[in-house]
Amino acid sequence: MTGFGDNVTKLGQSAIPFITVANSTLGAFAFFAYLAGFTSTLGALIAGVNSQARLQFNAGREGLLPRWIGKVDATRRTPVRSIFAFVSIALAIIGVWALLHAVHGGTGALNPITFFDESSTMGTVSGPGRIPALQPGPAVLLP
Amino acid sequence: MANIGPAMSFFFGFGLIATTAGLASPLTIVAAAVAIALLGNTLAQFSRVQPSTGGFITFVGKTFGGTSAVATALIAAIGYIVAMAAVIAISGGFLSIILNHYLHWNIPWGILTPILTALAVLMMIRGIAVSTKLAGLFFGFEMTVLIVVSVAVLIKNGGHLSLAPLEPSHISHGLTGLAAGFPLAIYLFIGWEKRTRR
Repeated sequence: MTGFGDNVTKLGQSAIPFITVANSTLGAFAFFAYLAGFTSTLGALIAGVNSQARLQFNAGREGLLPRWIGKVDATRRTPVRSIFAFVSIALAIIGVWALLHAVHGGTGALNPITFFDESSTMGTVSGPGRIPALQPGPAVLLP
Repeated sequence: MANIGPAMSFFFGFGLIATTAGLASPLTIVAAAVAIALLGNTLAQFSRVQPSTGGFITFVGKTFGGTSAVATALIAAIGYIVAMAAVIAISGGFLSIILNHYLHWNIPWGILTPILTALAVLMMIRGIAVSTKLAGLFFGFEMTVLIVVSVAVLIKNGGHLSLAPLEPSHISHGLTGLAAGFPLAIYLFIGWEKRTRR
């Protein structure tokens, strides 16, 4: 908020507010903010899938979900099936979301920040007909 | 803590919170932190009595029986997969943004995301020790950068600091704005519950 002079409109126009502030405050050193965002995402990806897949592995082991999810790899003793199932379904969700956007809304909104916004509330707060998801500005336009 | 991904949550979540709750949107994060702390205390008490990898699924099962446990397991499974799908998407998405910004390479995030995910899965299959160590290292780096940038911004704007972002009267549409921003603020903390599992 301080970095945007308490101007919510300006903040709302920035796809990634922290990066915008880092660019204006640190100049070339803002690279470290980009790097931190990337390592944070990778860290959350690794730790999150590890943790959440184990939750389902445990549910499979206890018979609450199909038991095949609760099996571990014979050599490495890691819950491989649970991890594969988790990641495959997640990728499928992204694929279906992209397909639905392409069919109904065009590919203009087909960027991961829109997906992040919409999936975080399952489309109840941000999404078609509601608060629009943040759109990346020219500096972060996605191919 | 790496599971929460403070930098990632803040980078990609705060903009929408601010748009939803307005100038005093930091208050929605304070409200979410209080709610998380209360729930965390409850789960910690359960965990003390019934240590389990299953976390709240096991607690619900032990308290309300098998049907409730299955329902909780299904809801938790779907919820976590959707939540992690966002992280998976943004991993390739942000790398695409970085490559475009610094090198002017236009590599679609739809290509980068599966590659990064496959690498992460390979690491997870190798074992939790390796992947946890790397996630911990990433966490240390992101926290350092978050603090340095925040302090730099505060120093640079020292003359314009105000308490307006912490005044309830500045939340858009009062309680409605707070209620709309609250689930988004809770989303910033996803991963905290891992600390209550054993």
